[in-house]
Amino acid sequence: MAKSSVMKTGPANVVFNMTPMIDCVFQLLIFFMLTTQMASADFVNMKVPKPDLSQAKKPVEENKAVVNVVPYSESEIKKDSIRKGLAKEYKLGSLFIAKNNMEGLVNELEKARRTSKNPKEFVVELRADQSIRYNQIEPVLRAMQEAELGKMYITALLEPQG
Amino acid sequence: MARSQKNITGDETVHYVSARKQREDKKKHASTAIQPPLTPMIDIVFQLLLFFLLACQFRMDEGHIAANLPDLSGKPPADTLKIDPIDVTLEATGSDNLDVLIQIQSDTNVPPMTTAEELYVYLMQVKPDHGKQADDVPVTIKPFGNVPWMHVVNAFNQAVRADYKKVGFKPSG
Repeated sequence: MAKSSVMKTGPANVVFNMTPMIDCVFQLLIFFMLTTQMASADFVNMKVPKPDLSQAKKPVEENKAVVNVVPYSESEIKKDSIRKGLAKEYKLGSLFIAKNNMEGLVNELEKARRTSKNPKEFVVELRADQSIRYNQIEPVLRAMQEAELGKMYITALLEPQG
Repeated sequence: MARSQKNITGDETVHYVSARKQREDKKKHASTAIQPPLTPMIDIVFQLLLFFLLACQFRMDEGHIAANLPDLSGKPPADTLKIDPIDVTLEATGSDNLDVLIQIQSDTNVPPMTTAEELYVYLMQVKPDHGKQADDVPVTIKPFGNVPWMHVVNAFNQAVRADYKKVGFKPSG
């Protein structure tokens, strides 16, 4: 057994100094707790378009619904490359709507408008992946028109500041 | 033999205390170090840290561009009839249809454009031709079905950037 250089009689008391490690861990924990945005039903993971000198404005909380045009995942495209640029399905809030069920989308949009705080000012935000073809998004625009919506938002990345 | 330096007062008596006894007394009276058990707390903190590390997904800063949807009732607003719209056609080109060719249908003298910046420059150039009504000139974007959404949004964004108030989409060709 190792002998202590100070206390010649007893074994060496090796202590692992944990304080700096705990400090760092707490710092990391606080950072992640503050920056993490929990998964929201409104936002599907996708790459939204980034226009040159984007005119997009920061969203404000108002009575709106978000229609996501859900793309196929990378692994699904790898399995079948024909899926590239195609929409997999649509998602309104937490509700998934099949791509060929346009009637269902119109009904849900109308329902969302009727049940909103202010149906006259109701807005739908169109959130689509940048690689999706226009002919996949066009049915959503038509559904919005049929649901008698006057205004819509197009999701785009904000222009970086500075 | 060492002499005691201590002054004796009152009933105090001098006792010899051995070095060993002194050490033992010191040990006995030493304050006990109290440390709360840190192990469970560190366990939980590590669990939380691991959760946040795995669940954290940094999202890009998103915003939105406002757009008006056309009225399906069939009759267009009276004022737009008087002004000829600027028809912008988008056509997918290049490998995998990832590039775009921008054409102005309403002005055949304009050569096809390949960047959104060129479209912006054109839209700014034609503005003075419309005089006071410049901002009210409708800009209609007509993308082909295979054009990626990023080009459609980019063209829309340039029209908004050029301060046109009536920007809309047309069904794909």
